[in-house]
Amino acid sequence: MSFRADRVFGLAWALLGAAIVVESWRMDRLEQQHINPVTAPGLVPGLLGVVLVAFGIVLAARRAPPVEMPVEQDLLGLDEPPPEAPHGASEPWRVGLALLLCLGFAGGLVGSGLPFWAAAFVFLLLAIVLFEWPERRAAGTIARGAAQAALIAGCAAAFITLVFQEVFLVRLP
Amino acid sequence: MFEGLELLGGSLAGFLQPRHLTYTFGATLLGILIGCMPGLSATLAISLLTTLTIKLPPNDAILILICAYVGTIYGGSRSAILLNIPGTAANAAACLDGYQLARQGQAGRAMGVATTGSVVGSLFGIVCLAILTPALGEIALTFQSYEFFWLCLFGVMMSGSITGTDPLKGWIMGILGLFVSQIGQDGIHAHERFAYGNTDLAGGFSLIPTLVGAFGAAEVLTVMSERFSRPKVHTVDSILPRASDVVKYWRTILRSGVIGVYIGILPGVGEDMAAWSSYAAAKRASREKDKFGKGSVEGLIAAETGDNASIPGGIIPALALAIPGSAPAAVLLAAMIIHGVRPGPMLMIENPQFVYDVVAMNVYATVAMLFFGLFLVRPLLKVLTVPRTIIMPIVFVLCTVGSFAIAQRLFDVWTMLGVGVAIFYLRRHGYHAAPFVLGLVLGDLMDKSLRRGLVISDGDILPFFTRPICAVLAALTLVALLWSVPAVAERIRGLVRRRTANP
Repeated sequence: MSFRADRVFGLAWALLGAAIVVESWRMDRLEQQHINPVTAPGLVPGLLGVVLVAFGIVLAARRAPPVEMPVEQDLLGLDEPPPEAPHGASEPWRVGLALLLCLGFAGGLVGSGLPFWAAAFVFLLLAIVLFEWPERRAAGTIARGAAQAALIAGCAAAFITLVFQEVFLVRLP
Repeated sequence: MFEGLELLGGSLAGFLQPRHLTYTFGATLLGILIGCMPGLSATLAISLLTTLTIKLPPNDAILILICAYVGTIYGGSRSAILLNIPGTAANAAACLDGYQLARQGQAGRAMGVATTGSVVGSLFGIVCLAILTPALGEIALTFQSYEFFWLCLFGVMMSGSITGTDPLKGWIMGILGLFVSQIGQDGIHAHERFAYGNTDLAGGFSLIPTLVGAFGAAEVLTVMSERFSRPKVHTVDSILPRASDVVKYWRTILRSGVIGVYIGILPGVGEDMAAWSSYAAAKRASREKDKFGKGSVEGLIAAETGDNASIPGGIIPALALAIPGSAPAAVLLAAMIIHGVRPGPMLMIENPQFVYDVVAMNVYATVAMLFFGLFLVRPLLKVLTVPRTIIMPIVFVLCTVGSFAIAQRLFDVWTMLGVGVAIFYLRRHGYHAAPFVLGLVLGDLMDKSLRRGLVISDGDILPFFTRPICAVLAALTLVALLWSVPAVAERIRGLVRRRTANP
């Protein structure tokens, strides 16, 4: 959460807000239907756009992010924030892979003509194998891990497809 | 009074069918399992289950959702106690003393205490739900568009103020949520806004796929981006709750129940704040302050009573005003609307039985929670050791298919994906999803309330500030805004300090 990122975000929000204001202003006010002018469809989005511009400018213009203490620290009257739960470290390759797999599955494979069960199987297999790769390689169990992943992916894809198709009567893509 | 009891009796008897009992125990168990797994929230559980229960009769579907809600918040205490990782945000306060108890070899006792606190808190909240919902509904009948406008705005701003450490970013997310809800046909003239000839956009963004994206896909992406190590689960001693804990800490339980329900009723303030506030109040009032954070039974019982009491608390405004008290309650509200129930001030007049049905659903969910808390602790702990590299991809497949199942259109899948990726990215820069979701759910009501109010007053904005309830809500919203401006807050703190120093 760098100061620079806040500036860029602030400008982006202000621009988005300005675009919303312009589009709301240009929106049909339905005068030909003799509606009350205060019920024009663009009124509320326009006001929201104005507020977004204001917040965006404040975010971009403030000298430094607030040194706000977490609400729980304020409540407990502590000098330090309460101990946070340990999180796993975020790694760039995992971020990229997660985005690639999820976008590829939901944005590409689903609805591409490939049966849903096959798309789900491919996604699950790749996700399990690739995310477990470092640990499996270190332990020398890549082949075993791949076989396990294939079994889990096959069972899960078949189960989800069957439940939605046969129980909930959804015509899957 | 007696009519209410009669309706409640009818509701309690109505859910004794084998089908309902199966749903109750199944959904609560599923909720506990989801809650146990860090990264899967109550909001995600309810969103996904809404897609799965779409074809069920309304009461069956809502029963499943409420049981899953109660189960998830309770289940989150397991991982908080055993792993020091809160299963849901609501259980973060339980980590402080729960994990310390586990380290001292009292994990079972800690879980027993969590069960006691959760059950008593839930029961206290249920009593308040049964009493306060009709009362609030009665008051809400006097509300006009002006009051509803301020309630919506207050809820979104409050949610923004308390989520994360930067209120400005919370408010921006709230405004974004309100804006996204404006896309599609407007609620008064059915005029298309921001659709640009696209038929999918003209229908607006469906609520459930958007929520699944904000809380499901974003969470999956976050967890998949982090390195995962297999957790070491503490051994568990006797898990039987002790009656002596209830007797010894009855004041703490009562206080935490009241705080939980109060915070639950406040629009946009969720279970996590209820737990923290109860914990903080218990610490202030305790004779054993020094034990807090080092394995205090009183601290754990306060946190767990508070968060569970806030579940029925959050449902009260959702039923009486159609304004949810928390993010999971927002999804529950959306599910009720999808199933043809019309929450709001007219609910007690049009469909009073439903209010007592919801009370009965909470009662059965609490019974199921107690059952699993007493008899199924050890087998349930196995779920904590399942690698997230397996769970998260499966959850993402469910997010995808669940989004599609609502209306069977690919646009909903893309909505889920787009919102999920956007929230995932924004979260990494300090923006949180809860105010966005509140904005999304309340946007339509706020839009209609503002414009209707202006029509009634013939374009005059004064009634928005001069009506008593409006004046209070407007002042509270302004105070929340100003309090978050560091210079103003510092000056007020300084004044208070000076006054305390020179009485």
